[in-house]
Amino acid sequence: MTTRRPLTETCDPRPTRAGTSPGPRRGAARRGILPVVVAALLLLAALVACSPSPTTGEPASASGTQAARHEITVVDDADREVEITVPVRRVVAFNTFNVEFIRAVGAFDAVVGLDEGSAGENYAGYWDDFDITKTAGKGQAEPNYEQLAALKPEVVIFPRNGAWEEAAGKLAAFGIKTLVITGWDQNDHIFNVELIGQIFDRQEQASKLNAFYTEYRDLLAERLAGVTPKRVYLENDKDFASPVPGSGWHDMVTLGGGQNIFGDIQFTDADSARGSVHQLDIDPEAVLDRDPELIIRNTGGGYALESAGDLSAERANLLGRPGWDAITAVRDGQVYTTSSFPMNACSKIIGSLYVASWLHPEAMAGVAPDAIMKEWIETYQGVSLPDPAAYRLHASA
Amino acid sequence: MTAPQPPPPLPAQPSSLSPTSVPTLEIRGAHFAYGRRTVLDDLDLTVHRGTVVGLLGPNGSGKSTLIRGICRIHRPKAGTFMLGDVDLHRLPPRELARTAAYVPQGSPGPFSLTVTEAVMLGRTPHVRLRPSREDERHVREAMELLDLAALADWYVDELSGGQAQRVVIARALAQQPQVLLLDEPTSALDLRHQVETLHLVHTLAVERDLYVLMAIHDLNLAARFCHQVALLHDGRIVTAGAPAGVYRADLLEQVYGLPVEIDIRAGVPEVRPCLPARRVAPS
Amino acid sequence: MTSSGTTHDGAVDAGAAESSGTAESYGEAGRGDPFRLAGRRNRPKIAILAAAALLLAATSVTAVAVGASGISLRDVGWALWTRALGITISTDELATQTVVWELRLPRVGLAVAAGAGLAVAGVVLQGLLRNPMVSPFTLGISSAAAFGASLTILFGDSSGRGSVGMVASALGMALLCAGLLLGLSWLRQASPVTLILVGTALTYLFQALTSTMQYIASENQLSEIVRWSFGSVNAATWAQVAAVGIPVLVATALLIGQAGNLNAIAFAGDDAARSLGVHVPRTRLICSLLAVMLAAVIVSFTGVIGFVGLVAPHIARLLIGADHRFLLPFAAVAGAVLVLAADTAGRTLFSPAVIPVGIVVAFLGAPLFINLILTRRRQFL
Repeated sequence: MTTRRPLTETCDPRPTRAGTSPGPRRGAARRGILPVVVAALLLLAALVACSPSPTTGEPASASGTQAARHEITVVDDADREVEITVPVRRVVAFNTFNVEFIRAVGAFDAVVGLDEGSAGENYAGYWDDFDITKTAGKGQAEPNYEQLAALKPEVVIFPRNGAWEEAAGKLAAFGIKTLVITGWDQNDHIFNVELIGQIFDRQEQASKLNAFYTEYRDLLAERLAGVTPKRVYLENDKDFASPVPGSGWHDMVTLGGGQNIFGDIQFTDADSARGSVHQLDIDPEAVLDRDPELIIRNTGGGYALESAGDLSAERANLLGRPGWDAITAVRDGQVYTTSSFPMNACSKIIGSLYVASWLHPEAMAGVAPDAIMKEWIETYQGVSLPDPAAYRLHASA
Repeated sequence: MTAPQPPPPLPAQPSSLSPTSVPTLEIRGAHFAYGRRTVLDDLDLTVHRGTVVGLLGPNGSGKSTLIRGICRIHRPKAGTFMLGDVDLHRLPPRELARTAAYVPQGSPGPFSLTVTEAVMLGRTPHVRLRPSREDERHVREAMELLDLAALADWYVDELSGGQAQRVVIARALAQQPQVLLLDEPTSALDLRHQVETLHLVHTLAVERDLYVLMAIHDLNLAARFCHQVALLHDGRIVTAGAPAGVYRADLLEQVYGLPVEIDIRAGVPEVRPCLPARRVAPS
Repeated sequence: MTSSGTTHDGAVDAGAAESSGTAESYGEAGRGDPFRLAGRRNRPKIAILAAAALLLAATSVTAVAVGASGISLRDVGWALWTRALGITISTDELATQTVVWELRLPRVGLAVAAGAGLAVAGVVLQGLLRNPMVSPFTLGISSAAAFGASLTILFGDSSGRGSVGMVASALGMALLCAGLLLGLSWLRQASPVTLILVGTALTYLFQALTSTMQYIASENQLSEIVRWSFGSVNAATWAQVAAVGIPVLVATALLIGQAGNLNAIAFAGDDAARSLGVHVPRTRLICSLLAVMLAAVIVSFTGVIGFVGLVAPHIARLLIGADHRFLLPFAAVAGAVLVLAADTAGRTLFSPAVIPVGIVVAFLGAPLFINLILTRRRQFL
């Protein structure tokens, strides 16, 4: 067997702030379809009944230039040409990354609805006074069309692994455009941000954000030129589950001057975030065999500090595993338990900065990832971030 | 199927119906009820050793209940069940199962056993953990007695109805009982196998000195193979005794609600229902 | 059915057997070698049992010898030897010993215990309920355990599969389900068919509850719930081996002790079993309690390994026959081999990636099962 596709059985959405693998998860959620349908219908009915009626008052308008609106044609991430009247004044964005980019270009007041992944308690306090009950569905795979229609957005943004094809037809009936922007794909960062700048007519802010991103990307390339990548085991929220190529987490490690010890598992050829590339079950003894020099345990979680979970318990769990005392990373005190929130930040470029500074402190001298994290959150997201270091725990701390 | 069978020999009549020292199975004042519905009411019955007693009567008359009650599948509300001076119902379950064996009417479960394994079930009240040589011997004897040895490794569901019935009887014999209780053992069999089975039961009773009590529907077969019969109606015994005495047209008509005629052939009564004269003749 | 001409291995001529089965011939036939009967029946079974045990031993050795670290069989032997005797060894050897002793052996142990226990539970429940479609999971036990686990994932401190909280919650729910079933059978004297129907209803109920949990779960929690539903022994520890293995051993021994009674209930029916001196309600209660507890304990530790409890009993029954005295130990071995082989395949095929055993076992078991059913010599069930 040459392809590892059978592994897609082990479906797992990645533990990012917003799930990104709808296909397999959908399959899993629909096992035992009868009870699910009944339960889902009941619950949906309850949710719809409980939802407050959408605000019908003043339309939120993109602040800034109140120039005459005009129509442009953009090419989205699904290679579709979409005609959009810009600046867009009402938008619903699925996937937290997309919302963050919208906020980073200063168009957050155009957002009239989030998905439950963004609005959940992991992100309590993150959206300021935004009414998080205005959820537009459970996730990108299961938009709530009635709620979407009621929110009256002009545009609904889906990532490419969302239900945009289905939604395009349904929403067209309400005159709502769908646009595919895959915020979670850090390789498309420049494209994503430019497109978002375009539709809100905020190209300037978009360029600024891209410059912020590019600066650190270049910095990493420059500082890490010539260093030998070090072996990294990234355990992604579940015991003995590692990202493999195809996952942004793998790319984050590589970009940070690391060599994912499970980088040899070729699960999928495309960056489609299929199956379990983010959390593939791996053989515990392979960790011992491959002897990582840095071990990172992601605990999931978002802006809310509590959502990082019990970091010290996770650390004890790691350090107590049989044979781990012989691993180089453990002997060198190179074990970190961390919330996914800082690692995910700004297309995970900040995660890469953390990895690089942990792996190659000399090369990264003078670079403070915590300060960059603070800048991303406080400058670009406009919310306060008291102490970025609180999201993680070092082995020797 | 093979060649037709010669008619079985007539059963031997018991030499005496009033033995002096031989213990009898004495049922006295048996009362059974399901909830509030009384099934058997104050019933007395005696079974002598080495004889077959047939329980006759229409559906619901209480035949099965009595059969199953003796081996305590149903608990009586009142009554004593004495074998000689042993009170059957005061015996521990395994002890009772070594004294009285039951041949049910039902069919086996979905997982079939080999014939040997099925007969070995009869050793359940004897076996502790694993069957011993002794158990093996009794199983083998029962199988040989019922002509099942050649079928030892067959699965029960591969057998014909008659063979399967013999397996269940062999199982009962493997219990080494003194009392054999059969609940309509011929109900699922064709005529040949009915005759074979009843002949077998009769011979076993006589040759092995068993107390046999058998619920049976077929009056004519009962007349040929039972030493005595008891006619049940609504939970009571209407009459009991030798078939020739019990089979009276008026009694049977009263019990079954159908007029009958009775002929006596070679001392054995034969019952024929009186059907309306009109016949459906082929045109 | 007439049996003439039916093939049956080693059987006498069928026609002769049929024709000799007549009224006048009983009592004369079949006087042969007095030990023929016992020998024919038991000897091959004991041989089959021994062969299966050997196969399990071979599978275990293979499972301990293969893995991502590429340790040779000799190194494995040396590691165990030095461990057993407490010989001081080099750091490299210590690493090997850790892999073998702390990772592979517990994993093998948990797979064997889980497979054996689920198979035994399946045999007992199929026999007691006289229904070939029953398994611990058709009675709602696994769905209940999955619901318990998802409760912990959602509302508790979920530190992963095998954490005390999760095991307790899964076990609690599984036992609740078992209690509902058994209580019903005890109080209402329910028939086997009623029990199966109630079990099916409970399965759907707990599935719906789990789906509800999934519906309100966050993405992370959802993935963990889904992950739990693929049974896995990937993170097995000796503590888990003990927690699962000891109940499996004890329950299996107790159930083998009940084999005679089980035979009577399964093959003669409740009434006839009673007439055979079996205390039917008590036997039913003890056996079903042991079976569902077994399934509940196993599922709580490993997650749902669903297929074994259904298929291992049938494989065993086809190979060794339905007599519970042999069936129970054989099914235990068969289930153990099945799960162990599945787990070993799951972690070596795409090593170092691991496919959860709950998935592989169906890939392995289904073709095997279908093949056995289609090539069986006789009408099955």
